[in-house]
Order: sequence, then C-alpha cells, then structure tokens
Amino acid sequence: MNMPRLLPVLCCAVYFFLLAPILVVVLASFNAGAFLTFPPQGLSLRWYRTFFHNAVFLRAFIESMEIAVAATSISAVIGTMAALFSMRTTPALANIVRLGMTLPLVLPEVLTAIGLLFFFYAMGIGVHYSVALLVGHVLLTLPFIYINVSTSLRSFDPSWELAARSLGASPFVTFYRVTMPLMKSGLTSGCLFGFIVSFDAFSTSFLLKDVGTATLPIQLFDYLRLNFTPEAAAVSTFSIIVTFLIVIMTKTIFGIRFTK
Amino acid sequence: MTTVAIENLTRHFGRTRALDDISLSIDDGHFVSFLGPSGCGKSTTLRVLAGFDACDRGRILFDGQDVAALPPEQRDIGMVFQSYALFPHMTVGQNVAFGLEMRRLPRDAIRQRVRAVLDLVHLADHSDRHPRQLSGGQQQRVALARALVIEPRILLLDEPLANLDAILREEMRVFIRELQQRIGITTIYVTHDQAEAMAMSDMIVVMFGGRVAQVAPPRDLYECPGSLQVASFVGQANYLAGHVAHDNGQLAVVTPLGTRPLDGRSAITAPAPARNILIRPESICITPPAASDAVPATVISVQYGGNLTNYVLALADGQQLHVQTATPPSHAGGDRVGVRLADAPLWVIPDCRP
Amino acid sequence: MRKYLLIVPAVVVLLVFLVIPYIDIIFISLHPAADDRPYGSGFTLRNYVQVLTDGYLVHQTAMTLWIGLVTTCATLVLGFPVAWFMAHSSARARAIQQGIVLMPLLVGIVVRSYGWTVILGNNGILNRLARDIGLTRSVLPLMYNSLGIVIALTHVFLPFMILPIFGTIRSLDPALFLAGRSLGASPAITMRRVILPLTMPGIQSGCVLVFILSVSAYVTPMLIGGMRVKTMPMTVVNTLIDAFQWPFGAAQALVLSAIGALIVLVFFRLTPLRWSR
Repeated sequence: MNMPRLLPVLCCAVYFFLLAPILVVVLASFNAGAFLTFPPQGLSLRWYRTFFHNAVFLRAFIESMEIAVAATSISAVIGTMAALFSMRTTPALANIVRLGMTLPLVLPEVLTAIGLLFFFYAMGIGVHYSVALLVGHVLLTLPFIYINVSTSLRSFDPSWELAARSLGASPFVTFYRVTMPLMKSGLTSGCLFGFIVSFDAFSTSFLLKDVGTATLPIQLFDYLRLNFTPEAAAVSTFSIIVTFLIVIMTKTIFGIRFTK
Repeated sequence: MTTVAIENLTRHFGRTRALDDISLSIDDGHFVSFLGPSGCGKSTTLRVLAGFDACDRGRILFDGQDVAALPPEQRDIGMVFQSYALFPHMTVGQNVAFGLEMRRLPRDAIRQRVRAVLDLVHLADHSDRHPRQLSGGQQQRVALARALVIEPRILLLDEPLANLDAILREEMRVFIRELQQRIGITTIYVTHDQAEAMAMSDMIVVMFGGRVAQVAPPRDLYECPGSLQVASFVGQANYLAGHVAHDNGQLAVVTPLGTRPLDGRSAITAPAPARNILIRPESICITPPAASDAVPATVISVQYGGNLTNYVLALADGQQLHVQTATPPSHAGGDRVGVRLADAPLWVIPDCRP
Repeated sequence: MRKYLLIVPAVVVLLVFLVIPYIDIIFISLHPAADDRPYGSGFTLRNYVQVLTDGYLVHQTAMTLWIGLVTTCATLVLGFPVAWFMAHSSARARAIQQGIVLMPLLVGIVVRSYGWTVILGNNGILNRLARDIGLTRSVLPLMYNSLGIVIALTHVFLPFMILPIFGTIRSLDPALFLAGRSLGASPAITMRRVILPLTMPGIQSGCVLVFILSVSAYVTPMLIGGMRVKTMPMTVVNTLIDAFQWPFGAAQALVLSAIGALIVLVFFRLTPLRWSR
C-alpha cells in the first residue's frame, strides 16, 4: 500500500502524545525532592512510603476496590442475562435491548449521577449506606458487560443448545457445559472493563458518595486541589500498577485476548 | 492496442522472494492466465503490474513504455478484484461512471458509455440499484463493466470467479472469454483453477515459488509439460519409467505398457536411457485380460462420474495407474483386466529421471 | 415464555435507576427553590428564565460548547490518520498500536489530567523546556486557560475517536481503495470519494461520543482550568452541591444537554446520510 511518508511520523507523534502524561506521572513518583519537578531530582521511593502510611489514601483504595467488585458482580449477572435474552429473541427486540443497555454509556455521566442523586433523595435514602454510589457504578459497568458478552455470543448458534438437550442434557447442564464456556471470554473481558471503569470513575462517585467516604480518584482529586507533592504521583502510579496487574492476571488466568 | 513485457521482475517480502526474476511478454489482444498454487507469486505479479506493489528490480513495459514508476491511477488499467470491490455507497451506474469521471469526460458522454457497457453485460435495467441488491454473478458483471468502460490498455482479473458457485462459474468463463475476444483487449487473468485457465486462455503462465515454471498454450501445457511439477498441477497424470530408443529409423519411447513414437515437440534427438514418461489417464485403454499386446492388471476401485468413469488399476509389480474411459463402468473392484496404451505419440518429461 | 425472565432485571434497573431519575431531573428543574430543603413545592419556569438570561451563564454555556467542538475537531484530525495507519499495519504492529491507544483508557481520568498539569503547568515540563532553550523568558500560558483544557481533553478522549473509525476502516474491503486507484483516481480523490463516505458511520459515532464526553467533562477542566476557566459542568456541580440549589442546577444541566443534543442532530443532518448495508 502506498502511504504518504508523513503518516507514520504523525502517528508516532500521536502515540507519544497519548502516552506522555502517563509516563510523566510514573517518572515523577520516584522523585526524591519535596516538590514536583521534572526531570526528578534523584530517585527515591520516599513518596511511596508516605503514601503507604497515609490511612486516608489506603481507606480510599479499599473503598474503590469494594465498590468496583460489588458493582461489577451485580452488572455481570444482569448484563449476562440481558445478553442471553438478546441472543434468543427477535433481531428487532434485540436491537432495542442493545440500545437500552448502551444508554448509560451514551448519556453524560454527570447528568445520570445528578438524576440518581435526586432520585435517592426523593426515596428518602439520600447518599447514605453507599446505595446510591453502588447503583451509579452498576449503571457505569453494565454496558461493558453487555457489549462484551453479546459480542462473544454473536457467533453462537442457538441450535447448539438444542443439540445438547437432544443429547440428554438438562437445561442447567446445557447452560453450564455449552453456553457458559462459549461466552466465558466475553464475560471475563466485560468484567475486566467494568471493573476498571468503576475503579477509575470520578463524576458518579463524586456526586453520590456518602458523607465521609471517598474512593481513590476522589481522594486524589481532593489532594491535588491543595497539594503539589509527588505523593499524588505515587498514588497515581500505584493505581496504574493495580489496574495493569489486574489486566495481566485476568489475561493469564483466563487467557483472553484483547485484540480481535 | 497493447503489448505487455515484463523484464526480470523481482520482489522480496522480508527474506522471502515473492517474485524471482520473472520475464515474460504478452501479445496484443491475448488472454494470458497466471496459474499456480496459492503463494506462488501470481497475485503479486498482478499487483505489481497494477502498481499496487512496487518491484525491487525489473521493468514493466506497456507498448514499450516503462510504467514501473507510475502510480496505479496513471497506468490506464482496468482491474476486477476477487471481492469485486464495488463501492457500496454508490449505485451500479455511479460505480461504472466513477472511472469516467476521473477522466473528466463530459456528462453526456459518461451517461452514454455507462449505458452502453451495462448493455454489454446485460445489466442496463439495474443501473439504479446498489451493489448489495445484486446477486454474486450480477456484481461480478458490474465489476467487469466498471473496469471495461474506461477502455483501459489492459484488463487485469484477480481470481474473479472464486466467489461464485460452480454453475455460475462455468457461465461466467464463457461470458468473460467471449467479451474479451469481442473487444480484443489484452487480458491478464490470475487463477489457481487449472480447468478455468485451460478453458479461457490463449497462453498460460504456470508459476511455482515465485518463478515461472512454463509458458505455453493450454494444449501444449497439458500434452507437453516441462516438468513433473507442471504435469501434476495441470490435470491428473501417470508416470512410467521408460527409455527412448531407435525403432525402424525413428525415435520411439519404450514403456512397460508398450512402445509408441516420440512426440514431435520433444527436444530429444537421440536415444536416451531411464526417463519419466507422461501418460494421461485417458490414453490408457482397458482390454480383456487375454488380449494381444495387453499387460495384465487388477481393478482396485471404480468411480462413476456420469460422462466419464475413473478406474484405479494395479500392475503386476504393484504400480498404480489412473485410467479414465468415456464408457460406463464395465468392471468392478478385484476384476482382472488388461491394459494397453492408446495409439498416440508419448511425451518424455524433460530433465527428469525416475 | 420463560426467556423473558432474563431481561426483567435489566429492564427494572434501567427504568428505575435511569429513566425515572432523568424524569426526576426535569421535574425538579420545574420546582422553585427553598431555603431549608433542596427544592420547594409548586411549579415554575423561573429557573429556565434565569439560566437563559444570565449573561454569565450564557457565556459559560457557549464556552463549554466551543471547547467541546474544538476538542471534537482536534480528535478527528489526529484520530483519522491514526485509525487509517493502524488498520493498514501488519498484525503485529497493529496489536502494539491498539495497546497504545487502549492504554490511556486503563488509567483513570484524574491521573491523566494530573499528568497534564505536570506537563502544562507554569513550572511544568514544557515551560521549563522553553525557558532552558531560551525560547521565552516569561511563562507560556498553557494551563489555567481553554487551550490547556482542549489539549488535555483531546488526549483524554482521543481513543474514543480512534476506535470507532478504526473499526469501520477494518470492516471495509481493502480492495476498495485499490479499485479507486485502478479507475484513475489519485489517493486523495479516492480518500474523499470512496473511503470518507464509507467510514462516515465511524466518524459520526466518534464525533458524537467525543462531543458529549467533552461537553460534560468535569475533572479535566477542573484540574487544568484551576477554577480560572469555568465550564458548565463545574457550575452545575457547584450549584447543586455547594449552593444546594437543585432546581437551578437541574435547569442548567438540562439547557446544556438540550443545546448539545441539538448540535448533535444538526451534525447528523449536515454529514452525508449513512448508507445502510
């Protein structure tokens, strides 16, 4: 294919642009100095030590993990059921379901969170007990589960289930032995995406968090408005590492591929 | 009217030589097929001719003019792709008009020529449809019309029939060949189907591993293949060990099944020992076991094919023979029969010892 | 019809926690304000009148939409060539590039915006570099203005432009481009007449996604703008959380959404109609 010679150069520049802020944060976290300078004045892990002794950040990290696991689990059940329904119903109805299930992704996150805030206030629950927060995160993660599971089910032939039944398998065994293995990779990558989106979510958590609690992105955001020490970079790098570890773990345990 | 000459064309993909010193010349108005297994370089040759791929070395001459440095849009070619590559957002008429618009023809001329070419491919009343509304065969004809309407110097066809079903494929073979002869356009056709190449071409270029193995008209290719590889790729073949000897002042080929004259096209001019002799399945006759000058054999299997019957036989020494007759099956597995060669000259495969 | 049980939970969640809350926003925007509660009782259009007549809010809305439009254009201009290049790379190179494009999505938006403050800040990398090589003596105004916000938003949402366009280019028959060339069209004309119309669905969804995301972005403008540039989402959150004026905040959010939706509709009208398969 004849391509303009400038194209690869432009693309490399864009890739650099995409990676630069992430690299900068990671490098800054190893800064030995008291202020955020670049290039770092000597390398040290002192800001990681500060971070690991900072109860506020650690609590926020645990809160983030809890909410992400809970929201992803709930979405996994609801989203998978909806995907299975789409596979079994008419194309027209499946289209409507797809539209509905991807709606939370298309609607502005801030607006959805505001709606939930109003709704839970009217219910008399408000933001207490993290119910609103959990529901907000379920809405965030649901589209990712649905999209990934239905993609993996797209090539699924419903007659495979009939074949299993004709061979003497009960509906439960059919699901467990035939349907489940075929959608496993979609479900895994859906959960992975959902988890990461929830773990990194800001606006939803910001508007719906219970008084006195905070997720890691919120704690980081609060910190950044007042401080400029490299501790923020250490926290950021830590959250990047956690995300990547989860991606790599999922990849090795479930062996899913991310590129088609 | 256009002649094409390819000189020392070489193309590497990484370390592999996709094209290895290809040279060839094509006469004006000829239909030439590039035939070979996948990965033999036939499609690469076509892409280099079209200008979609560069060559590392070599020249491409259209009417003596070197076009190797020209981009595809300036080579004045018409190309039909395996996938047809019809523009899905344009109607049939718009697809066909595209090339003419690029040549900045006046509107009226474009309309006339689109109409004429669609008539030629029997699709005049489909001008306003979109490609997805057409059948595979119709899409194929639109692709052909789109390539022909610009009156290119040469027509390039890249496995255009690969996506059609068997019956349609036969029909399109005849259609394309007839159209090509009517217009008289120099045509290069890439295929891996030897029957297709034989049925359509003036000349066939057989390629293996990036090299040209043989260039010959279909009949010569079938009857006088230049190597074992070509012989096996073009139709079914039996090989018998034999030698060339004098017989009544003439050169004759001696085989276990009998002696026949040497084919006149052979380059062999003197007796030669131990050679591979090509025997096509239809040049062996099945006789009663006791017939004179017949060699005894056993029937292993019989395959009935309607107009033809295929046998696999075994000689006394165990060698298997493929035999094809135009008569319905008259023997069954296990039968003892006799075989003899048809009364025709034999081809000795050059430079190939058993 | 036992299979319909499968869809019940999803329908309940979407109805109760998405549809009803959105209706709720509309309802609350029509209530008057109250001192002791988030909103009072009764019906009023005053909140809308207030949003549409307050010069400061109108200016801010225009500013927010402008930032959204510029960000969308920037991501399109950068994203299309990248998507094209990616789609035509070898399988290995493509996988690496996909990894690079997806990677920012794995990193939280707060972290990425923070990275940009480190780069763009008055003592940031770029300013230091400019000073070191003697390009300028004063501080380059890269942060605390709309330029910085657009740069950071372009970065944050670029993957959302690249991925849908990449998807449509990948689904095209590569021979289409060659067919255009073989018929005598130059690469530029083939691009405009053949490839662009066919990738329009991807371009459309990329543009709409990036526009919605950048108009409703909160974190990035907040960190990069440093309260000196205010966009509507910041004002909305302020009004709701700090000033506790829910009806007024709801009206602000709805006006912004309505204008945004209108722009999206106009955009669909102006771009060539999708051809359907």
